[in-house]
Amino acid sequence: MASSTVQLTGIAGQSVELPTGLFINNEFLEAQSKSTVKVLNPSTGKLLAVVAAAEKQDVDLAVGTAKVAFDTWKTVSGIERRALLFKLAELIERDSEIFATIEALDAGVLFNDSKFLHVAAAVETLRYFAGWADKCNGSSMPISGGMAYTKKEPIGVCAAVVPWNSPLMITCWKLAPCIAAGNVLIVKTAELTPIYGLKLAQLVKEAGFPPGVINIITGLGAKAGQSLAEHMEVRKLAFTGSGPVGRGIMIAAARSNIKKVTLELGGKGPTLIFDDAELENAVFWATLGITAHNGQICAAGSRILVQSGIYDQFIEAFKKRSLDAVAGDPLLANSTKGPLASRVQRDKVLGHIQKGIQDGAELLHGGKVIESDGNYLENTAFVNVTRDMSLMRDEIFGPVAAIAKFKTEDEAISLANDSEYGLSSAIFTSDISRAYRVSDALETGQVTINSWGNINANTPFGGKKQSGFGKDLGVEGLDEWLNVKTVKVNLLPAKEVKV
Amino acid sequence: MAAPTDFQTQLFLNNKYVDAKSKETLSLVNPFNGEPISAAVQVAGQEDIDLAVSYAQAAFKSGPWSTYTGAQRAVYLNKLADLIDANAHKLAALDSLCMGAPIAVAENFVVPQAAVAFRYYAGLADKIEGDSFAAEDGTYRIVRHEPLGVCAGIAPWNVPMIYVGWKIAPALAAGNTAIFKASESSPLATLYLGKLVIEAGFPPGVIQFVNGGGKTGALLASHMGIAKISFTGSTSVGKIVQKLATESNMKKVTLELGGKSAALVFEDANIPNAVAGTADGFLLNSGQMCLATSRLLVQESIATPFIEAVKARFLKAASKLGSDPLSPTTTYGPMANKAQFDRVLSYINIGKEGGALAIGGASNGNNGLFIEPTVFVNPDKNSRIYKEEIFGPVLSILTFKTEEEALELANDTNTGLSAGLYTSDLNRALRVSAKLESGNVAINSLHLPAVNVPFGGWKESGSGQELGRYGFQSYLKTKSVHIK
Repeated sequence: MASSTVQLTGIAGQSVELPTGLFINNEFLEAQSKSTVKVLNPSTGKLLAVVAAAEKQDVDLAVGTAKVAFDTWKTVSGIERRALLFKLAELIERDSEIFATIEALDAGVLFNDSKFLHVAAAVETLRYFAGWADKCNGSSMPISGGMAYTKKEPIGVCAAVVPWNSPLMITCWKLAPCIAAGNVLIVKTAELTPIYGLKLAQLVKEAGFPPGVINIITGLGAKAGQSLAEHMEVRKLAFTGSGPVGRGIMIAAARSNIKKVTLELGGKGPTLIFDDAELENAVFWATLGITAHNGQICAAGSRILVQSGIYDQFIEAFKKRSLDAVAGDPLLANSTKGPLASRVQRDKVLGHIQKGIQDGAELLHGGKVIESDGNYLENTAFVNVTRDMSLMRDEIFGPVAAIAKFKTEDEAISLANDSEYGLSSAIFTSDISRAYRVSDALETGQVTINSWGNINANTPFGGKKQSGFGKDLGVEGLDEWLNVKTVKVNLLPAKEVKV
Repeated sequence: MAAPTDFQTQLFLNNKYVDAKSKETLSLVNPFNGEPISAAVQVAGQEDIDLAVSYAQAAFKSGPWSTYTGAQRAVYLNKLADLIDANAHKLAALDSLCMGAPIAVAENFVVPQAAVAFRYYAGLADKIEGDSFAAEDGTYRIVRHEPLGVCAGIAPWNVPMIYVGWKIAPALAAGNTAIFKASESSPLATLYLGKLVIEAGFPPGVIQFVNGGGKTGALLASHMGIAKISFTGSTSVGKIVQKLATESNMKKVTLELGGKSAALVFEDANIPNAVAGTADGFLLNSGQMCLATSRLLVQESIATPFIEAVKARFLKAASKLGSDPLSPTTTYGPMANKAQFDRVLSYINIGKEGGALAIGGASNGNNGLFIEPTVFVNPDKNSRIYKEEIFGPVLSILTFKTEEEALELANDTNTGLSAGLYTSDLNRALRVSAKLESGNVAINSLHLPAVNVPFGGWKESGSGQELGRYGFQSYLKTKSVHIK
């Protein structure tokens, strides 16, 4: 059954109308069980939309159409895939303000952050991987007795389960290389933030992708996500989200069909500030690192380790900058701080704050809810946090910084590496040798020197240890969506020629 | 269709059409009817080349282009591809008018291939990657890949628009700036591109077009401010380009030169397919292709019927001789210019003296520069028509008994650009292709370059590669940085 629509209103009365169904085979459908999910505006607490929520039968349908689509899609050339990805990039760019409106209303992302950072990154990612679509070549090599070559082949039916924090961008991190590599894809958007997925689905159809090549559904993780993780016909699942859910996906994958899995599970990013850091630059990035999108970023610089010589100056400037935030409606240009994505998330973060206080950490600033109908929370920081405290160890995913002082480089490295996470880190120093030495020593998948959180389409991003495995972006990101086939030809001797 | 009449005749420098300081002009002639083309195309002299290089250097070092990321460069390359496609008919007509290619081929294949190259290389612009090495000995090492600077391209007259894509696209994707010279007998389509360069939004000095013949080419090859020259043309001129490049500033050189390529047809080949490839395929562009397999080697056991089949295809092509290249139904065009026409005829006369002429051998009189598709069977292996590149519709056919003999015949040349191999036996296909001394081998079809694999000649057919990622690398240089 075809689905109904939702209407959203943005700034200056801009209106967006979208279907609310599951996008399967280029159609918007109700869930077969008529199941739905309510979507709230995290800034106002009000109901934004009621959208179809996929359950097992819907996932089966989506996977079925993807499988059928793959039979034809695998014969489409890399050049044609490239053209389609470019078209999709162009359409997203055309509608960037619509996406920014949706992300502001649904995910609490600041409008300008969405438009100029997240949506722009999504477009850059699509264009980057479009250029790989016609270049997935193998190698050729001699072997004794003949010759051999490798082929890079698509995996087939793939799935991506994506989070609510930077929904469009992270979806495109999966979609772009997956499709460039020649696969078909089922995207499960987060049930907290499904609306951008509906708009993306419209553009997928407008761009000209054949039905079934890209399906976009939303649903509860425990239902739709689990069904995908267990599905016998899905051959790869890429997940970005929390550790516990990632673990469950890995188990379900192993128990079902040993599907390929990549997991991007969050981090506890250490930001190391050395005495010789350029202070203003360090303050700018370190603050951004834990306040951007209220710290709801896997790469958040949530542990700030400051060398004793620069400590006092840093703390003063960091506090000033952290408090200099204007909390307001994410749609408005003068808001520099939006809400947390949900009431549940806000309360989780509050719980971490309480724990921090109980554990004896010293509150530097913040710690309180900002009263409203939405999910606003003050920028918060603790100092004198010791390595065994929960504030130092557990991912909070909120605007809460855990700060510690260190004396020596070795101490900083030891503190930074004392974590089960290993996603990203940041170093601030003017000494080139230190920069190389320390970045070498840090056990994280990405290290930024004198900045924080850079994302570029041509550089791989992904973690170590319990931050997961597998890369997004870069050529390594492309390889995650390909299988290698080796073909060996045995050369038989020349036949006798009748003269 | 009516011949186009709105021509650009100046130089395209720094995003403007400007008069050359040299007062020389080119005389263009329509090879279909011998009539002059009323376009006094201006020749670039020393001052003009100096100016072009200074613009290109400024654009490379400090202009907006020097600040663009690869992804930004890609946007312009893709735009130009779209504009080339949108203007394919106009560009094809201009090439056709100058050098006689059938417009259907020019418009549906040659011109679009330029756009194909721009799009392929656009996709590499943001994927330049060097290497990084861990500091096992205490020193970190990074290998950077950086553009060269000002890159010059010199193109021949046979498929003019293709070279625009092959030489400019990779140069620009890598971050260089480009100066391009089309052949003095077919400059018009290339020169028209200046308008599209402006429309695409390239900053000034990134792509420039100059006109002229050998003298202008020599100025480019000798210029101290040019970092690389890519030349496609005859072997003898290629050697001059290399010499001038070395003697000036040791600029990097890529050469795509001539060939005298062989097609080997074994008795187990699919015969109709082999005839199509070696006969119809050979006559593409009236045989004026560097990769033409102008030596057809046929296994004895099938030679008689095969040769008859090839002759029949040649006669069929000849029956359409004399048709206007600007007509969309024309499939066989004249020689591109008088010099080439005279050259081919003189080779044919040499061959006739040797007595091996099977069919063809004549021009069609006063009506343009057409030469009949011509076959020599079993010419003397030492004769000039068998050893030297003719670059026209003149095919030599020899027979062989064994695979070893075929290979010996095929490799007995100081060229190594292309080779064709027709067989249904997998082992023979792999074995023989491995032993052919050629930079490109096509099995069971006509060889046509593909943008994603390198195209380059062995022996005196050239040095370096164009196309593919290898071609891309040739527009970059390495810098190793050691960090303690």
